[in-house]
Amino acid sequence: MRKFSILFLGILMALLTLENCKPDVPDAPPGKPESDSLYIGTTYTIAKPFRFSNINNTYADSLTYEGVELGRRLFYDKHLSSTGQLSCASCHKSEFAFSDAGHAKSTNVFGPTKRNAPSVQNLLWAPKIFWDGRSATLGEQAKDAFHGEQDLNVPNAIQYLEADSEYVRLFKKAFGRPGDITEEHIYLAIQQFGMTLISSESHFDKVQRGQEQFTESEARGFQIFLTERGDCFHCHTHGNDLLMTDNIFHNNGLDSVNDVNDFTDKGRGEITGDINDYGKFKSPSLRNVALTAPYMHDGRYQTLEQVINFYSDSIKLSPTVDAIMLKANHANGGVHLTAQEKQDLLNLLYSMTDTSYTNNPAFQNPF
Amino acid sequence: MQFLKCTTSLVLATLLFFISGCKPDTKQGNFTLELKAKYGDQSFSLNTPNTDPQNRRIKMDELKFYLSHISLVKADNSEVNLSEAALIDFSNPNTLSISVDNISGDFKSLRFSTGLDSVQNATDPLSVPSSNPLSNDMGMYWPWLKYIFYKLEARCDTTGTGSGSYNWFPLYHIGTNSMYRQVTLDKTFSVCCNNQYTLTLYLDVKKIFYGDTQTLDIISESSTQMGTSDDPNVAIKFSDNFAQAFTF
Ligand code: HEC
Ligand code: HEC
Repeated sequence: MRKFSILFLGILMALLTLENCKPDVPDAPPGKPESDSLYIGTTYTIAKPFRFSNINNTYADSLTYEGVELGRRLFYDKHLSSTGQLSCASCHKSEFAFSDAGHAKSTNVFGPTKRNAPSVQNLLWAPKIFWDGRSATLGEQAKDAFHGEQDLNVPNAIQYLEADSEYVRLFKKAFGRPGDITEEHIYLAIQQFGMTLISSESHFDKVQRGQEQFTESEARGFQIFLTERGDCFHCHTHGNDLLMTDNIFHNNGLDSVNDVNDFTDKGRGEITGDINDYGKFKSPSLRNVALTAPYMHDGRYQTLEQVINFYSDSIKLSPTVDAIMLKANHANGGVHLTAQEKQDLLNLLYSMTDTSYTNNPAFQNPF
Repeated sequence: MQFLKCTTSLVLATLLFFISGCKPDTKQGNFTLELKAKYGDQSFSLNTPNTDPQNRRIKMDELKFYLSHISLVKADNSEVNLSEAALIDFSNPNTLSISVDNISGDFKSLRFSTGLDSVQNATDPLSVPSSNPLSNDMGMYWPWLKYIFYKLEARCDTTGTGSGSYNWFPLYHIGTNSMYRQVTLDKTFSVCCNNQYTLTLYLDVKKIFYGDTQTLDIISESSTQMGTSDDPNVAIKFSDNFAQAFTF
């Protein structure tokens, strides 16, 4: 083994030195850079908030202020839909942590969407996006939304963008040269904006950092959340970090079905085709959850009280229901909380609201 | 000038070729520890039912655990370290083998621990890179428990008819320092001379429940997370049986 590696190294070294056998070529003559030369944007560095997981997103290194700014504009631009009526922001409103608060289902250009529009935040850390995880990156996700929700007509959109001198300028600053208004760059710009949507300044965060204190009720709620009493931590925390989701797919016992084929929405199973995934959905982050009613993938619960009552007393059985949901009582799952415990848990959830996120001027409508 | 550069290179290459060609053969070989699971004399895979001695069907959703301080013990009692900590996850084939290259010797046993030692268990999972088995991204850490050593989630059809519905859900999430166990299994073998030696270690899942000395009852002892509301005896029994469930 070692013999071979030495031999290999030798040949490699020889080849490298043989490189020198090429005749010397003079450098290209120095000249004035062309005015249209490749624009190098200003690097946008993401600061990892306190107790967030490592950033493993390969795109995180290539963020630029220019890309992010362009992405924000595209996010809010209604011209990028076949009807000219819908932008991403129509269903993802900053004041509700980019959810479509008040709507169990949103309305897209064709009619009601299949699912509830979730809040959007900290997706830089999400390996899979959407309730069913069908997109791996925010760029893929934007493409999905443009073609689904917004029914984007690519040639029309590009024509519109090219006719707008502000967009021509922004695309050039973000991607390099004129002519860089492409379908792919639309998605990449939105992806860049999406990656900057980070929420980490709630009362809850400040308590974790030792800057503020929980009320007694919040503290009790956190105990319930974080221990087997409420068992919420299983799916709404990820190890020791503060993302408030494990970003994994679970069936939390919303529906009673005997046969996996009877789930109205097969969720993750629709993507993987694996019957063990039928009826599973990505655990949503509980950050800003007080702002994002109605709840669950189909918006079936109007209030957080209803959600807590569900976890307490109304877990339903089905073939893929998470074993964790049934631990306390196999026949009729649920953690059976007292009225005080429910109130404590509710107060804890309210502590995760981050108004500096929802009010952040960098995330608002630029038009 | 160019000519000189070229000649040097060629001479260098020839020289290196001969030097490497003259090296005496080493006595080293490569070793792989391969993990497999079985259920008694039945084959095992996740989400596939096995039949237990009481004719109940049982299938696992998840079987994931730490092995640490894995080493090969030589005839003279010296040890060759294979891994400080490995996270074995039956849903991820990449985690089911551990290899080391260029080792040699006559070995008499495999030694490892189930779970993590107290120093490893005190790691902050956010402080290590994502590829590290102790990383936060492995889904094996809860703030109140620290590392989960053993994670087993199962579904059972307790009707005994072989065709009932899955109505029982045993769940074991076990950690804390006292659940760490050390295991030594004897096996005589040699690694040398450019050979690849593969040792297959079986986890007999049946033995977790039907151990050599004690039975873990999936009905009355169906869950523990080593927290306040659970009986620590279930966790101790699980950990004891688990450590004894490995065979070649
Ligand atoms: C008509 C309403 C509507 C529009 C317009 C819309 N979305 Fe959505 N969005 C939804 C719905 C509904 C979902 C949930 C779909 C699912 O998971 O299957 C969703 C999901 C998402 C998610 C996933 C969040 C998560 O946690 O996984 C992101 C990110 C997102 N949208 C961003 C965008 C962007 C960017 C645009 C514009 C290109 C956009 N949306 C346009 C309704 C909309
Ligand atoms: C087994 C994993 C699991 C456990 C345990 C769990 N959840 Fe969930 N939670 C989920 C999943 C998955 C969803 C989305 C389900 C869906 O829409 O189909 C969800 C949804 C929610 C929502 C709705 C969020 C939204 O934006 O729509 C809230 C609130 C919530 N959970 C709170 C809790 C609380 C509080 C607890 C503890 C009492 C808890 N969860 C325990 C997995 C879990």
